[in-house]
Amino acid sequence: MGFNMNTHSNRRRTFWVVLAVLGAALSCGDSDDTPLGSQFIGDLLGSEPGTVYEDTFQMAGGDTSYVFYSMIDKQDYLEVGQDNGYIRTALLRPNFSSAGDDNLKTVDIADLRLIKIEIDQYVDNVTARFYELGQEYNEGDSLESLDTTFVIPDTTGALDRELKLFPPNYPLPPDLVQSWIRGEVPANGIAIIYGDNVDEVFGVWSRTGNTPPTVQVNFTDGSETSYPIIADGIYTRPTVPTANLVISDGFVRRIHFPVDLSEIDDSVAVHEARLVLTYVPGSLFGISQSVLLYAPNSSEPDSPEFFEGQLITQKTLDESAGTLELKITNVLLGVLSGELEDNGFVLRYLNENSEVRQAEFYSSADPDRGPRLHITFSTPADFEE
Amino acid sequence: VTVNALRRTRRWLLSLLVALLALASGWGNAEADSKWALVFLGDRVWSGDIRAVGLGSDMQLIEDSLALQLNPATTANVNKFTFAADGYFSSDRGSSEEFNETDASFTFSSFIFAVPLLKRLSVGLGYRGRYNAPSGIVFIDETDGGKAFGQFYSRSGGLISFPFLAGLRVTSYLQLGGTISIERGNYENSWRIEFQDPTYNVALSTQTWDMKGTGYSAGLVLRPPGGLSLGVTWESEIEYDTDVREQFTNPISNKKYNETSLLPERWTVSGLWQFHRKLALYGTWSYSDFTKFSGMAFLSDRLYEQHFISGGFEFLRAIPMRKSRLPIRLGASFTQLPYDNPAGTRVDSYLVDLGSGWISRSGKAKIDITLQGGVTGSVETNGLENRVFRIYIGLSGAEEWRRHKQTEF
Repeated sequence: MGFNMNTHSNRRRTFWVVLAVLGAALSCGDSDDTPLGSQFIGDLLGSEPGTVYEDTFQMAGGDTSYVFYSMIDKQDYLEVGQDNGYIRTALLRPNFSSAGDDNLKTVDIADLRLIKIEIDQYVDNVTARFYELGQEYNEGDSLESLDTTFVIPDTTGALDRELKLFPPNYPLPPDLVQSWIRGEVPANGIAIIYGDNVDEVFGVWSRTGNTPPTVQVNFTDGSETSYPIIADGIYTRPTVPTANLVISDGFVRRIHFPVDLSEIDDSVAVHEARLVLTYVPGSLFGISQSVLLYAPNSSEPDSPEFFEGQLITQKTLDESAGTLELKITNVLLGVLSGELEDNGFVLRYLNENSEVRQAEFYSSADPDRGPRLHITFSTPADFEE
Repeated sequence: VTVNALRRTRRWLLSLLVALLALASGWGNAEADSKWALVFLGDRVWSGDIRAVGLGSDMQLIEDSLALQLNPATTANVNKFTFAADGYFSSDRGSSEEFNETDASFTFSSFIFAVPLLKRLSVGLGYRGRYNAPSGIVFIDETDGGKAFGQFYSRSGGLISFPFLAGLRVTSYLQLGGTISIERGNYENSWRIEFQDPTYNVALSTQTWDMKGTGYSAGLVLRPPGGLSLGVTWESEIEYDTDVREQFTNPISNKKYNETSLLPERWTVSGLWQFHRKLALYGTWSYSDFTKFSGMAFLSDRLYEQHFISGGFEFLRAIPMRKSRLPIRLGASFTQLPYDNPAGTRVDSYLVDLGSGWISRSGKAKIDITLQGGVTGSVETNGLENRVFRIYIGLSGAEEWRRHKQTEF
């Protein structure tokens, strides 16, 4: 980056002329009252104002999208399918801790009961497979990948299932469920993985929804027990990679912008500073597009301090604007003055892990459309000692 | 006796009230907000008196109590407890061919207590405070991107002085006096860069000076027979110990340091010729060698000796008003400022004054008014000039003065 220092010679000349006039204009005429004396304070006022600069420079590089493998686990719905380049997988972990005497019984029939949400955005049915998770799932977990070694077939031995409105019961192997009840095999959870390659999403109520999913078990003695789901969530993954900077939710990605301020004098005052990002056309989707920019306490995404810092600004993404401009005036001054550590800036969605959404921006690899820092600053006044 | 005591008490309360009002008008500003740069060069704390202004300024032979501070030898005139207070505000509007308008205003307050200590020796304690309100200029510019901004320069400041005076009447014709004064000053010099777009942050750079010093003065007054009087005053140089503090929007550049500033000594000579019971002529000359000035980043090679010359005429009973007659005062002054203008030419200042006044029958209150006009610099010589018009109004309250010495209005 490089600043185009403005030529201020003409302005400087004008300055002195006006200043000279001022000296007389302020004169009061009395011998004891000598404002013209100010002309001698460092040639006139004894000080010079700071010089104002305005410049835009490209980010030096290092702008990166970091992935955080958290999931959507606080919503009233679970989704299975794919859309806008993201596959959704529903995860559910049944809880058999209340089985009691049931572990002495024999399972006759077992079903996973899922109630479809009837809204337009969800299709009537999709093809999916049930997998037994290789590790226990708890809400809040970060899962980099799913262990999908064991498929849970239906009672006929079929691997693929059709998720649909009715009937809402999806058979599970009785012996598997019985081993879960008896604690012979840990009930780590069930992953419902979409089994097709069409943009469609099937939605069911989650454990916090109107009609929560359950595992319905009928025993050979005629008794019946409904076991609740103790943890559920939507595991989301993109279907295609991108070289652009991506901010996304569901599959959480944050963009980190390191800023090289070495060419700006530490003593300057920042009047206005903006981080300008250019949208990749057609890349934005999702209902809620509120984002926030913060200055992290660490520049290392693996550090817990990366997730803490000072809020800089909040914005709502609008792809039609062409660019996203984020004001960083005060925080940049804080960094220059040493009040804040220079760890760059991080852009993330507001209320992460709430829905599948994303936006892409051109990275610094694109010299014309990559991130830019637009800054207007001034040097401090020079008071002569 | 009781009635007289009540009247005396009432008079004292009134005097005290006037003093407090006068102090309130200037003390707070001078001490708390006081900023100074605008007036430092050549500016001691003015020994103000509106009547003296009407006679050309710096006149030290008039016998109003506030004028005691002009020449400490006049303190010897005090033969009973004397008190006076004064406060006023002045606003100057300057203009030139190249500059539209500016305002420069200041407040001034002054009081003095004086008491006869011995038969021929009187002493006093005074206060003078002056505060120049913020005034400045703005330079409009814009960035390469077309964003308009202004660079606002502002400065303000004040001085206060606490003189301890003593005056000795050596003979009927000679009085001597001296002063020790505690001098304090403070000023603020600031630059503010502000954009037209209110979403842009303001950048502020401020330099503050806190100054401490001690001053001395000595004076004599000769009053030979024949209506002639002569006064001479010497005011010592004042070395100010100055704490400077610079603060910026970006605090990384903040700093503090100490400096010394030296204000050169000044000599003032005044003459009075009362050639008629109702008519008097005044004249004053003062001199200060500002080449000896130092501090505050002034360039010494552009400093000069300063000469101030003034003259005044007073017609004591000129304007009839009810049962009294008001005086008319005419004054004029010339100063060659102790520094040149940016082009290197010397700057002259001419002022004319027209004043009058009214004193209560009891002699315990007076009002003075003076109109002042003039010009500083000239377009032909300096490339710029400034025209001045001022209205001075002074209100004073005083305990009974030596009636046989009191100037007749």
